[in-house]
Amino acid sequence: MNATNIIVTVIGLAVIAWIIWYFWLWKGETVQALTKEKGMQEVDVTVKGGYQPASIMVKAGQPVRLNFTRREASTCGEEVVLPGFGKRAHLPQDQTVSVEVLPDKPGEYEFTCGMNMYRGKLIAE
Amino acid sequence: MATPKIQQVQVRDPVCGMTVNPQTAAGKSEFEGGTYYFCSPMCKQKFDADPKRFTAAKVGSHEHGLTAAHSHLSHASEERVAAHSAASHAAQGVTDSQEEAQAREYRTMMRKFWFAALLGVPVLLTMLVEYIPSLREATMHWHRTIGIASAFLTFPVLAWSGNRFFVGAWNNFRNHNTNMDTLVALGTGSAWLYSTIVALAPGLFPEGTRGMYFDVAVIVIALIVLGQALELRAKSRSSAAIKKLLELQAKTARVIREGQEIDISIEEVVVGDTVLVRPGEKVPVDGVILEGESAIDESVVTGESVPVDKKAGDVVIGSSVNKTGAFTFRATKVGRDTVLSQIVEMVQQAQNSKPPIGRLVDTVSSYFVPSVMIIAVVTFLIWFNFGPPPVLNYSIVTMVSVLVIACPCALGLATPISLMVGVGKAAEYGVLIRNGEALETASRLTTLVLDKTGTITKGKPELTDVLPLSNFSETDLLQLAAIADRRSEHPLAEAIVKGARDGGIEMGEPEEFNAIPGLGVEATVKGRRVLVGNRKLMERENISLTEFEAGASRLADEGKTPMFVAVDNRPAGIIAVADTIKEDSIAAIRALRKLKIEVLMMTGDNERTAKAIARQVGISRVLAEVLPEEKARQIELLQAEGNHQKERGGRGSRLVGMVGDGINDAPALAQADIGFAIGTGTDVAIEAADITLVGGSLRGVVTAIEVSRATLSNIKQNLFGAFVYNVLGIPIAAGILYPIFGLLLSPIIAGAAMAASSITVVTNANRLRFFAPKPAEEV
Repeated sequence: MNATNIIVTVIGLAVIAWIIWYFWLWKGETVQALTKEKGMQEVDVTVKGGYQPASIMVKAGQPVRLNFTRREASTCGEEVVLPGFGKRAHLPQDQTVSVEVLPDKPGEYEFTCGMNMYRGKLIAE
Repeated sequence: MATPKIQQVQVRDPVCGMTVNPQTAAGKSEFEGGTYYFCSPMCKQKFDADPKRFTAAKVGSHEHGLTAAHSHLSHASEERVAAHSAASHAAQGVTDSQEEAQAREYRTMMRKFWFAALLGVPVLLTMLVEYIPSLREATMHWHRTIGIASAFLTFPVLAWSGNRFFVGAWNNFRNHNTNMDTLVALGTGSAWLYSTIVALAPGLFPEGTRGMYFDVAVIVIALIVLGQALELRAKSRSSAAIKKLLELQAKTARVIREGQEIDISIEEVVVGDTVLVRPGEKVPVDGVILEGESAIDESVVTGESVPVDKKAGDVVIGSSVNKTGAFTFRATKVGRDTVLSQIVEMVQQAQNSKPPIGRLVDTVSSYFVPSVMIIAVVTFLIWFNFGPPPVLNYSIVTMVSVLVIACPCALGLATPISLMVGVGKAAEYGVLIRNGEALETASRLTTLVLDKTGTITKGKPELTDVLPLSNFSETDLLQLAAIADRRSEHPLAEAIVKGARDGGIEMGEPEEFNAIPGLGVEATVKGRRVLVGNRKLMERENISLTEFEAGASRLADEGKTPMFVAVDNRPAGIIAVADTIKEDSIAAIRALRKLKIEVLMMTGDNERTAKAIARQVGISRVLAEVLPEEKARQIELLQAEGNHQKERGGRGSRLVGMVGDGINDAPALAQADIGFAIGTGTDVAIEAADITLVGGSLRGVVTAIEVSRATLSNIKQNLFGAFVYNVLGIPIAAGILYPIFGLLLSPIIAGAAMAASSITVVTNANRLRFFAPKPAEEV
């Protein structure tokens, strides 16, 4: 193994370490939903290469309204699925679509895109 | 539970043309009776300065369908539209606009494909020159020029045809996310970038590693875009079942208001309207017939193609087809309350749920893309350090192949797409499956408990025999029993009352009445204490049954239910009631046994009668004399029995299904692993069970199990295919076959394979659309 090989290998391993850190170990911030009229908790979620915010704290037993707006042309995020509530919504680009759910028990409720690549969750407490 | 606003009213900002939601708009202005909404204060300012400029030309521009038409909605009409879209109409709207959007997107994607393909061919040809030695020699001096030209020629392909991959990958990256776009962008991007650097500055690379891969970048993008376009088209087919249901709705209704017949759209029908339906027309909403009679085809909700005769007082379902006569009915349910709307909503919910089998995929797919990236880097390093020369070329080619062959989409699509087709298909046959979990459990059912009354039998018992003991006449006995039973709502009691009425017996009211659940009734009639009920009631009251025995046994053996009558605590006689078995029960039970399901019958009826019925329909195990509140306990015992067998090394745990009506059997349905509620079409107990059989026939249980099994095996095929594809494809792309066979996959083949794998999954799921239950005579 010559110097080039060693350098390339070290760079390669560094890239692997970076992939693990950047995509797996990184934790996004959690946002607390705001309670509006009639106890409705509301959060605006932007869909652009993922959900922003992707982690939302809500109170269990109170309805939650998620206002999704897809800000990208990629069709990956064109559907949002909330399997825990049996709901799916089609998200046309640049339009806000509201989905109302009721997390009646404390726990984590996932929401994903149609192909399960974008992931977000409601944390009900 | 709160329901989602499937579609919000969207309006167009008259200044910039952007779509805005009136509720969240940055501002609004009134002009000439119209309300306009703006995306930003700036737009509002511009509008207010010269509103005419922005309003004159816009009206009539129908390019954007609904939105353009709504751009100058007044408040009142906006609310009306909002109300409409909240009704079942919304679902229709979504399917329509979704369909339109999908068609538009398909066309764009195909244009992008052709653009990439047309530019790809010449680039591919110039690259092929490399492989023909004589041509290679001849174009030696042009090599660099061709390279630079190719770089320019292919850049628009990446920038336009492939832009969604790069934009998507970047957006994902910023969110610490990855998806298929990441892989495609990395694969094609690195191929293009490497080749461009080689073309511009060949001196940077040692002799022999100056390969260019513009063809790879372009063809891979072309193939993947084509794959996505075909996938989109196939996907739109998989939601066909719901569309079919919605298309069946009538568009208008003819109502009689203030003595006038007027045609209005079905959204305007309100509860209480009198609606007129002529032969051949569709019933617009749910209601009760006021006048007239007809045969009505309810197959849209029940899946039963034989029309049902209806007369005044009968319930009609919206979207069913009036065949023969004209009638008027009073609307009782409109909008999203109609049976059809509820069915559509339930089917949509089920299509969006996730069966447990999909959970493994979730875990896999969240680690998938980063893992593939790591494998790609490892592949590069292995070839770079241990590969044959020119190492850099081999490293690049294999890395790109690994990136573009991996297909997370096939994995992600495998479960939901089959579920969508399967659940929709079941709904077509009047079988409503609550969610993915119910579907998966139904496919693995081992034991099925059938309630007798109303499930196997028609649930409309009729009076058959009256056997008085010596001190009573037939008429006296029937009269006493009928009056005692008069206030009871039990079907057996109703049969006795009806039998007495039909026999012309004079009826009166009981002075006192008390229903004893599961046993019978006690009442005071003409000053005498009358008991009518089953054996348990007589035993409880210490009334000797010896005089009853012979008659009771004979009746029970005939499948009739003997009801014992005691007057003033002394036996008075037996009245027998019998229920008729539904026409298709026997065939359905035979079909269930063919599906290797153990079928049991459960009833509150006495054992002899129950066994007689069971014999007629081919059931060997009977749970008789079960009180209503004990039904759930019996199911629990059966489930425990299964676990016990398992502990002793028997076959897997027992999954018990229960079929009954959604109201009386609700606790048992809930206790069962799968509860099947038998509805009667007009009274769908949608909330009650895991699976609702709208048609009211046991045949629906067979269909439910068949559809579930077909769907689950389809999901398994998809998952297996997707897993195997990735598990085999990635190592081959990495060059695992090279040391043995000298075989290396071209990244172009890898890209084609990836496109094919998603299409295969969607196509396989669409095979389920051809599912049809076996006809009764074949089972």
